[in-house]
Amino acid sequence: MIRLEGIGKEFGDFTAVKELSLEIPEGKTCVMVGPSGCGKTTTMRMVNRLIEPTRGTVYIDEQDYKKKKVEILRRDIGYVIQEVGLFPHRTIAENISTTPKLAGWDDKKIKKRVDELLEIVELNPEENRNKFPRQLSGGQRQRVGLARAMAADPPVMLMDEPFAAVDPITRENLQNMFLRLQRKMKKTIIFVTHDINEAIKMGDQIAILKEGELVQADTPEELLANPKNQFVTDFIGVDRAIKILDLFSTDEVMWTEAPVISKKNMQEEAQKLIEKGEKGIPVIVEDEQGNKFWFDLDELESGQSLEEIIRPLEITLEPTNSIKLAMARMLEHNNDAVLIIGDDDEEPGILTLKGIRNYVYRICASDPGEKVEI
Amino acid sequence: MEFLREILWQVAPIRYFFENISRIITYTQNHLELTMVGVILAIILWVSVGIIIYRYPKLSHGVLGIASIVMCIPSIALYGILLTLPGFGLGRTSALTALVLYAMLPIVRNVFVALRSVDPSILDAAKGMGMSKQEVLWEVQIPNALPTIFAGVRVALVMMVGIATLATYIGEQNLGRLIQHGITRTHPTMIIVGAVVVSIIAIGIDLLMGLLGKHLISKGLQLEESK
Repeated sequence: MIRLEGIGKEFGDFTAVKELSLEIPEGKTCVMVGPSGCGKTTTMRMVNRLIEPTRGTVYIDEQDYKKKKVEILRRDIGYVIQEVGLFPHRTIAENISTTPKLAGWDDKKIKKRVDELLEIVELNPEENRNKFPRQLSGGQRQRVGLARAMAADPPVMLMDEPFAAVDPITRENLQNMFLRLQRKMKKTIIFVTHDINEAIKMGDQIAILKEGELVQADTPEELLANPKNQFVTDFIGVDRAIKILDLFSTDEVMWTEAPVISKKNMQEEAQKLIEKGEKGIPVIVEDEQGNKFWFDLDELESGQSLEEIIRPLEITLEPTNSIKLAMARMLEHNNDAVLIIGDDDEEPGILTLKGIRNYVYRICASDPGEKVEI
Repeated sequence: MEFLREILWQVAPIRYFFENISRIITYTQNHLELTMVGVILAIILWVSVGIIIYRYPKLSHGVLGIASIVMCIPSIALYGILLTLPGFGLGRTSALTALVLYAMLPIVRNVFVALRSVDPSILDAAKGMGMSKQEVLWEVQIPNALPTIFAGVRVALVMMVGIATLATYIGEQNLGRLIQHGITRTHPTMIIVGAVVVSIIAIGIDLLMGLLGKHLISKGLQLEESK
């Protein structure tokens, strides 16, 4: 766990960071994001004392970090930067063994660890361990940078725009690889970026900074649903609604109690539902072969025959899929609903275009600062 | 063979060279001894000074200024000045001092510039991983600055071979003596032999330094940047 307690930094007359307090729980990734000059990198660099705070302190695992010798403190904090900063005069293996060597590991253990790390970052040890950094591409270098930072298995990692210098495809690969790793490693991470999309993708927690002050720190979902003020709303961007699609899974938006009626008597059964006072809900229609169709109860009120209204329910997704994927499927197949089927013990559901529209609208229509339950 | 020898014998400098071979070897030994001791002292002294002015950049202006001034003094004049100083006089002390002084600019300046131009992100990473200031200097900065530092030493050494020639005027028994005596006796053959041998040594040392550089400087730094 990392706890920043009222830390601040002044460079002469200029205040880079005012007085910032923030807690990053064990094993979570906190992404600091904001426009350039907002103090996010300064804040991060204060955590390994590359910048000495003017006021305040940092607690790592409940221990005041000033009590440790600064070199020892840094060895326990993995450090990854945008420019990677590999040592060009040393081989890949030597680069990765930097911190283990400083910590005094024996050669055999180091050698084993180097190969293991190369495997973890998806580089072939045989091919790469004796190469020099200049022989690698940008993406490969950042993989080695990550391996080097993780070498001595530090519980905490600081990452300063680690994927900003590579092309979009490589960036996406690196992000996905890192997410997979983090799921297993569970390190406590401070991740700095200026890219809100990256923040939403990588963060368990997002801290938005502006002019040296913390504006809002929340989970990505909370942040998108309840931006604290106009600045946060603007920073998230005009496509907030689209970003929301990526963040929520189908089981959060689907109907689980949609009535199922048989195709044979559908007209009567639908009428019964209306008489019961049901309104605006999706209804699933099943024929004898088990084929599924659906319609919205509101559509029936226009007096049409059900035969003309019902349409096939042919797409099936899982509860963990994002609603963005569901949207994509619907658009591809010119459908307006998908069936969500999970494990046996999970209730199946139906996710409709109308449902998504209402859900996203409810989140987006609120004014900044107004609370929306999600 | 005999015939070839006859022809070569007709070429005066070659004949002179072989007739005086033992003296020329002694001169060459003295010449090399002076420059080698000189370059070792120069490296120890000027690399340290280069590191110091890198750490305290306020000093750099003054130190590099002095080095430039020293470089401007004609060597014969510098030998003359040193000669008059108490404790120096005729001989090796003055000769060595002059050589070391001339090496100041190429070595100090290259060390200073090389250390400054090491990519800051490398140093940031090194510090961030928990290297101490000394570890950063010796394990990261100097190895990365080595190509430029080495280039400075190479220039200094080749220059010293030439300037050492003039030390004959303050009593050094080296290859300069052939040129000096050749001039006073109007003996062109002597001058030619002296000049050619000194030139060959200078070129040879330059080539050797090139090879040495390839071994000393990390392979990783000699590679072209990919993509």
